[in-house]
Amino acid sequence: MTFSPRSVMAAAREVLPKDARVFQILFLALLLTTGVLVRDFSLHPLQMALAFAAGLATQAFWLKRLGLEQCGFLSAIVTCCGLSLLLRSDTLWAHPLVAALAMSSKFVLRIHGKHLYNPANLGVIAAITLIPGTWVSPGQWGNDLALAVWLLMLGTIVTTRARRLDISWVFLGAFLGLVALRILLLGQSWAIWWHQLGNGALLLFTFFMISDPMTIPNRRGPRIAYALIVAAAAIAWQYVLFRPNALIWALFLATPLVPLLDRLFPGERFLWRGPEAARPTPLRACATSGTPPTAVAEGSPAPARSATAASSSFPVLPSRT
Amino acid sequence: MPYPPTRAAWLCVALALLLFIVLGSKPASAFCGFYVGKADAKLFNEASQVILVRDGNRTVISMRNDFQGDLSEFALVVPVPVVLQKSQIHIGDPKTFERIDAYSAPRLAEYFDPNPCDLPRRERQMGAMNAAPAPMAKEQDSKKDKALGVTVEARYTIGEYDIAILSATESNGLETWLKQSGYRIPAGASKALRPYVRQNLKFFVARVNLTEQAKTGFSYLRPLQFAFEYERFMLPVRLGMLNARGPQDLVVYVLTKNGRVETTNYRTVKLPANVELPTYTRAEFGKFYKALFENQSKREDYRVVWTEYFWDMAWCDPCAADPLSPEELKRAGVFWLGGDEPAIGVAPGAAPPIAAPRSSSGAQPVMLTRLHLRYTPETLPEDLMFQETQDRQNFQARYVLRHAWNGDATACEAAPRYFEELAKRQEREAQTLAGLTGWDLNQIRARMNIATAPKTMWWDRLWK
Repeated sequence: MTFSPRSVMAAAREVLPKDARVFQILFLALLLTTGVLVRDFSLHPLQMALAFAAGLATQAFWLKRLGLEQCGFLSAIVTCCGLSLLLRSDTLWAHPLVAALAMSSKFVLRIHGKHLYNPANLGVIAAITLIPGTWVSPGQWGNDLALAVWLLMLGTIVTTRARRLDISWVFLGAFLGLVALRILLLGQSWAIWWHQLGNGALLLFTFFMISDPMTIPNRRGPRIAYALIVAAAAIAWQYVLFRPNALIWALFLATPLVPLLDRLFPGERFLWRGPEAARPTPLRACATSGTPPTAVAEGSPAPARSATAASSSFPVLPSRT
Repeated sequence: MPYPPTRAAWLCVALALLLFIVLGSKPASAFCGFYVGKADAKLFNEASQVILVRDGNRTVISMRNDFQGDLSEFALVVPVPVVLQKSQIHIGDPKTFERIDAYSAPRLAEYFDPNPCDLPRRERQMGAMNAAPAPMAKEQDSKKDKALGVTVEARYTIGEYDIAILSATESNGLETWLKQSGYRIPAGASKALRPYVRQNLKFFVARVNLTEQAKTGFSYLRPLQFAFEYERFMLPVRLGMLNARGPQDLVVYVLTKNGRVETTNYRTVKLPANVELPTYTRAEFGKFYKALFENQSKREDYRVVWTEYFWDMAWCDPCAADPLSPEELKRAGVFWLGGDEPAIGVAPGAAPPIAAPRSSSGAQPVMLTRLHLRYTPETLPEDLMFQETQDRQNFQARYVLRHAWNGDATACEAAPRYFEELAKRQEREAQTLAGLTGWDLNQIRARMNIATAPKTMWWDRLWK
């Protein structure tokens, strides 16, 4: 019996879950635990529990209403993890309300069969602009390079798995490149660049939010352009307007460009479980993997281009058949 | 505002109940008790103190200089966004700093255990369960200045200070100008000044006018205050590090309208507080707090901004000092308070809320966040950037002493159990103190006289 690296990798591929969201959940849970235990997140356990309860209940409600029983709760768990990581509140009701809003947005705000906003991103922006007593603590992770290395590693695994790694690296390169340019222009110390690189919030955003394959352009070229736009917008928000939470605001403001880019440059829509996990029986499509439900078989590569054929309406609710 | 004891008792019940319902956490015996000591900013040598008042883009900064030395050597350089007019600069009152420091200083509260024999059994059990409490020139000169790229935009003598507002096109020129003009600035200043010059910031430079200083009759320098509008909610601290030897302390009192203030480019963490400590710390609370702060800052590698206090200035419990009057707040730079109306204060009979109400009616609130950081040039590469959050959950660095019941173990049936619980509690207190300060646990035990206490084993209770 031989154990070549290739055979070990192949075996690992067989054993490990095909769905990138499983990894995402594992890592987000790990980060959440680290944050609460080691980084003094001002997050009450009850806020987290209520966020999950409301998020999952909302997902269940929409799945039942739209007849998408085959779809799971992975995305909802990812969103609730994200909201717990980002959103802070001095009340108990803000988290569940935002979780419900964020999950609903996935089913209501749809264009060309893709949900428009990353639910956690939309949820956080809705909360800090509309709900009193909520805020985001961009400094909560600190600027610890050791933690940064962990985040880089974990994030790379997830984004590789989701086959959308390009957007993360392009964004990170562009953002840090612009920070470096500013340091050069102003004659600042390079310690600032390292300080920015060690920022946990930046890396979390890079690998766990902007990389959400459902809310980014389908084709590689537009995706890279989109990453550059978000990076430039974030730099402008942070160093021209001098306002906090640049990353989540930049993503929120740039998101409407995604359907436009998808329309101009049609490409294959992302499927969470990958073509290799395709099942023989056509299933109703999950809200995460596209509508209209009758036309798309989850995991099947064939109808992927149907997104471009779908008429543009806003918002689109998949009809029950 | 201090409350009479009976009302305080009712408030405690109401607050504890509210906390229990709202947060589902431990009932807050934490909020009641008597204030017995505080650890103010004077404890920390070389601590700079700044009062930062902010609403929208409007900013008022007051800086207190604890300058010890030859006054002719004093120099202050602060980057400012615009050329400040004379009316934007003011000499503050050091008492304002003392008042705001005393009001927000970490404090000690003490309780006395009741006689266990007087308590019904059920209450005793509840007490044991809830033992842990719940939870800021001339023509020639002008030519020379131009050659250096420095323009003196304005010159004022205000109080004991000679002030110049400069703009510069080149940082080396600015350093040369400052040196030639007699400002004692440390070597290598140009490198630190460069980013500010390139961002077209102006420089507020001040030195002491010895004649004017003698007229004031004070032996100390009074705080400088300036008011301006700036989109950046920040504090330029990097220039202050030029002549730093070892870690420096900075206490920032931020006064805002809406909620707690935190830094966006560093971690802001609440200091460990609301814990029970051995009663002997009463006599040396200052020493304890200093050790705690040092230990915690070191543990975080001087990379954390600590929140020591956040409270709506309308009330406090327990009050380390009376809340500041509207007049005192105005002197601190709070510009949104009206003239004569009573801006702050608690309506008679109204129970103060846990989190301040978000009503826009009536007087505008004033929220005080006290931030304290110990830093080195390496751990603070960027100036402090702030944001005002919507957080209105009050916080104070408050430590609790619980005095033991002064009775006999044979007094009643409940007494032995009380002493058993007491021994456990005292051990916990010793461990808490050791954990917070890094002090030796055995020495703490020795000072508490608990090492010699006979240990009750589980079997002792079995056949009684």
